[in-house]
Amino acid sequence: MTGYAVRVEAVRFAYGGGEGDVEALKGVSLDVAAGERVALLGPNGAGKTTLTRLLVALRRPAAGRVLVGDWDVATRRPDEMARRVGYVFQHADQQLFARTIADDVAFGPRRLGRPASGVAAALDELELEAVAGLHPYDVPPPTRKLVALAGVLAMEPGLLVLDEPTAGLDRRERERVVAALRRRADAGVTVLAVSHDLAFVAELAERAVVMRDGRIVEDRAVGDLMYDRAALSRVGLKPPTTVEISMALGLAGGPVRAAEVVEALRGVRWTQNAESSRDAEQASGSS
Amino acid sequence: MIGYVAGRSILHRAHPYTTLALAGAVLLGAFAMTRPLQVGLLVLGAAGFAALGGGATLRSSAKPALLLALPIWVLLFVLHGLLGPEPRVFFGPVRLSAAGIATALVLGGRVTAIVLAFLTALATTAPHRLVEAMTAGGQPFGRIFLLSSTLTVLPRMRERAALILEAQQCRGLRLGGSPLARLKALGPLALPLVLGALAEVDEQVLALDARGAGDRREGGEGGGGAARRTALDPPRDSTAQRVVRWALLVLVLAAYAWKFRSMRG
Ligand SMILES: Nc1ncnc2c1ncn2[C@@H]1O[C@H](COP(=O)(O)OP(=O)(O)O)[C@@H](O)[C@H]1O
Ligand SMILES: [Mg+2]
Repeated sequence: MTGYAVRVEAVRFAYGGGEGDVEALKGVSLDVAAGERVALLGPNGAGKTTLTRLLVALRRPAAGRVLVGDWDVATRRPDEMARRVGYVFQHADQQLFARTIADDVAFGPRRLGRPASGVAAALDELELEAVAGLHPYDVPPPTRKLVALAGVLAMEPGLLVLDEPTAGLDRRERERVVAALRRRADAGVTVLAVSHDLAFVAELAERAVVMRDGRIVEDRAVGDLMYDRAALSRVGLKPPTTVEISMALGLAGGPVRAAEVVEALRGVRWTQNAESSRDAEQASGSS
Repeated sequence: MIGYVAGRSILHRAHPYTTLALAGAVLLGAFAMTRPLQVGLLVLGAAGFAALGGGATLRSSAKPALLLALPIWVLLFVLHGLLGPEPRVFFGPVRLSAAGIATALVLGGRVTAIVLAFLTALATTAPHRLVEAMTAGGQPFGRIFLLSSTLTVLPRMRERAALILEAQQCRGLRLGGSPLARLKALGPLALPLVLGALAEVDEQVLALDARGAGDRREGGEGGGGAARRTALDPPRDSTAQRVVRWALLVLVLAAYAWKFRSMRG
């Protein structure tokens, strides 16, 4: 699977279209390379959702241009964009409509004429086989959210655009989402995820784009931003716990993912004070 | 489309109880009016009420009200005009019952006025303001929830329908551009829409319950008495508006007094 690059050029967008309207995007430019994993951060009302909706032609920019691969989005309808972009809505748990979860997940591939094998794979990846025969409204909202994601993964798109995919999910569910998305990214799929959940962002993304008030205000490596407490607090965010721990201990290499932090902790020699080294010895002695 | 329309008209700014009192007066007044002329005045009153809502709201009050009332008018005229008692008068080529026409006018006018007033109240009363007003007024949670969820059910279903259609498009569904094609696409969504709305109400009740908003809960931090929720930003009431509401009540009572007096006399 080859991923698609995304190019957003000086895009402006206002809701309403008349005077005194909300200008949601005030000149946004963004380049995402094929296969890149990008997190889109920022406070509520920053324009993140609006930007993602432009990528799938649900809205048209008032000025500027949006490209997905070599397609100019302005000349496409949403159902055409579906061949390239898989879009998971912010309120994805409200978008299900089929009689069974399996049917709902199969809707996209069927419309696009793609093999049904993706359906089973997506259900399996997100651990939804057990509920596949149930009605979507017989499962709780977080599960419905996973179903919506599975429905988009099953389409096997080259670009995944996800609007707050982990909101409302518990840790285990979030881990399933991360694993599924990273697997796609490893296969070359481009991933763009809007999120407030920095623990999720730390696990998923390599690059963080921060929006505020209709503009991009930061664009840097995730590993870099996570350690910049001031930049995060400017948009109402805090470093994830793993990074807090790493900062407190001054771990080398600036680890961001939980597994990296654990790895870095293994390398630490516990010699700060007698008590902690004794604890460490006891721990290693008893194991 | 039916439902709340944001705006700055005098009705939008009025206390929700005032708007509801106006609509209620039209409703009660309708049954006090028994003659075509009286009902004509009532329709005028309802139209004035709707006009107070301003141009944007008229589209979601007057238009659907007329659309709803039109078939009823036709039906009433056919029924009462053709089957009504003698004597008959000529309306062009057809002979219709004069008394039947009067009955049709009264019934049709009532329906029109009531629907128009109800849709105007719906279009100009922000559900959250009504909730605030009722909370400030010490109304029980169950009643507030019932009323506000009823007021918002149509717009919420509309939103959900739009969301599902957009999501389906993003999964490859081609929607024809015509409104009819869109309406057709909505057909199979009726069941998920209702189920979704029910699930949502369920979840809201659970969430509110978890936050201790249920009126079953007794006692509270303050010690003694039922826990009283505080309204965050209750809509402002005024003496003038209170006077208007009392005046409406007196007016309605007077209309009924008049009706019964003339029935006896
Ligand atoms: N359908 C809409 N109609 C009018 N204004 C909207 C609509 N959707 C969003 N907005 C406004 O546009 C701005 C950006 O919203 P949004 O893109 O949803 O931000 P975010 O996803 O970052 O929270 C906000 O000021 C919001 O109020
Ligand atoms: Mg958003």
